[in-house]
Amino acid sequence: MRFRGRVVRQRVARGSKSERRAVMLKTAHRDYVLRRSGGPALDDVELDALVGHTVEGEGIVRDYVLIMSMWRIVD
Amino acid sequence: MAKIDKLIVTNVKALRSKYGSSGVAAIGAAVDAMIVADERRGLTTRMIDLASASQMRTVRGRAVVDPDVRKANKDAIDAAYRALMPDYLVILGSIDVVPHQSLVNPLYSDDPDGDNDRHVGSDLPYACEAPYSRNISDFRGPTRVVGRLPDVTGAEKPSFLLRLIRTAASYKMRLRTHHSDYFGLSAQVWRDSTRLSLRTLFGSDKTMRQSPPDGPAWGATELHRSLHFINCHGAPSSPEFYGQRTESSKDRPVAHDTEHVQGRIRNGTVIAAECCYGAELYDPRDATGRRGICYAYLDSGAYGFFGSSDIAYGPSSGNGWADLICRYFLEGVLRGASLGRAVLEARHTYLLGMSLLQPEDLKTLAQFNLLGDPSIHPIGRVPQALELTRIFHRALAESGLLPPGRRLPPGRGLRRDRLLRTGLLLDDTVGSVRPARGLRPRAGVDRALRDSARNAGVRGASLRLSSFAVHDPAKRDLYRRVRLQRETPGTVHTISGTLPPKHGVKRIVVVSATVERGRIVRLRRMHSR
Repeated sequence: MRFRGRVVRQRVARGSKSERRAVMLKTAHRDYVLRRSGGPALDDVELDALVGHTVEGEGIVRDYVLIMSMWRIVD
Repeated sequence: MAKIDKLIVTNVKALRSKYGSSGVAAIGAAVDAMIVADERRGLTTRMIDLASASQMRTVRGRAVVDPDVRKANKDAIDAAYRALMPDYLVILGSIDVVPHQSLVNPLYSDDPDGDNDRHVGSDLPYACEAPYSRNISDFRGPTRVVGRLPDVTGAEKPSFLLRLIRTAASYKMRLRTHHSDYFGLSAQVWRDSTRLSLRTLFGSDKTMRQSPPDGPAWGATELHRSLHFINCHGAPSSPEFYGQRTESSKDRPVAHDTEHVQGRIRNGTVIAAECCYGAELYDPRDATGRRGICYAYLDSGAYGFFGSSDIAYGPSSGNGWADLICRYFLEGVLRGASLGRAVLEARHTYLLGMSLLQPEDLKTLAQFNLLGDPSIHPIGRVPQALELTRIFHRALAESGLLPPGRRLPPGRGLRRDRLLRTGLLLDDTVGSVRPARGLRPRAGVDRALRDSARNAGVRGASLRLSSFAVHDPAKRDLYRRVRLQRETPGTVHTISGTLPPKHGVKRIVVVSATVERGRIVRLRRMHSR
């Protein structure tokens, strides 16, 4: 799917064994935990660089996770 | 009709769409070889194609037309099970052949701060007599010994599944002494909890490894041990488990991964993994072709992998939730149970410790699934002296329970009867909670929750309240039957909030109050990991 949204860092999975500060994509419709295809599932430093930016691109959605295959920073 | 000991269910139509007719023929031949191997062990095995109308008619069931329709799969498996009453139920294929049942997660929140698993992927309903439902609390009384021999989700070649069937068909039962050492791996932040599990299981925690600093390039010293207990982080569609130094540390180094497991473990390894998504059967194409760690273990000769399909829970210290069910599973394996019975007894042991299942308990019970042939006995039971005599074998042969020349562990029929009774009893006696949006705590309960959270340092502004109603079959049926007027809890309220950030990372506190006639009868506080 194609996407566009703001990248933020946010707490996810409160109280579980997965609780962490994750990089999230906030789109007009819903929020996703953001992943990079082929990148580490947790603490991906390349995603850290996107925090605070608006990005657009393409990827696949698996439940609440958006796995980006391509993207670009638009502001 | 001869007694069927082991029932294999699959969907040939779904397998054919993945592998074509030649792939299905190869799988059929491998299953035939397994049936012969089982026969040598004294097991009568039969496979049923859930998509075949003629085969399903023989068990008074309806064929599964669309493999993705969960109700049709549950109904078909229930029909086959009830017609044949096998001691072992094997689901052959991954979730795109016979799907997990999809249960509504009572902890789901659309707030990114919460549990975002909308549903729990589970084989637990296939182990229960309760009819199809998406309500997780309907599956409180498992009675069946169930496991799944998965192929690779989305695969186009059946080679992985063929190896898995051959491993199961050629398995060897080993002595307890063969399993005297273990590979215990923990995220450093959870080392105290993991130590407690390992000491309880093996009497020692001295060989436990921690991440950081250890892993993922484990050597034979660790990987060749036949029992693996793993308590690390996991993530969806990920071929890695992760460590963590402290609650406040941001780093999550790779502790264990597919590449360092593949081809490097011993045949017969059994794994219990507490990790979130540890047994998620994701399509490797979602991870640039890298399969999950559970696949790497099974492909390398592991007999069984017990893990979670999604986000799992554990306490800040001591043992709870995922810690417990994983430990109970390995305890069963060490006692000499089959893999499937170890799972069923683990679920029973977990349930027997409860009179009321809270949301985390319901999710824990449903999310842990067995990947592996449930009839495999990795460890041999030490026989009683009488069982080794001719008198014993002749007596059981005369009653038809032990054909001459067979060395089948006796008593399986009696054990299954006990497990059936226990499961039905649990279904009748264990209560559970259901979300109740209109429910609010009384002022005193609300105050206790907020005070407990503030006592842990939580700021009032961040507190969030959830309420649940108690569904208690014992109160409704059992107590009335014996004319008891006993009050039981009616509601559970939870409040959660965040502690001030430490090194830039928030920490979460959850307090739950179990309430009976407006009064708190249990107050628990959980800290995030």
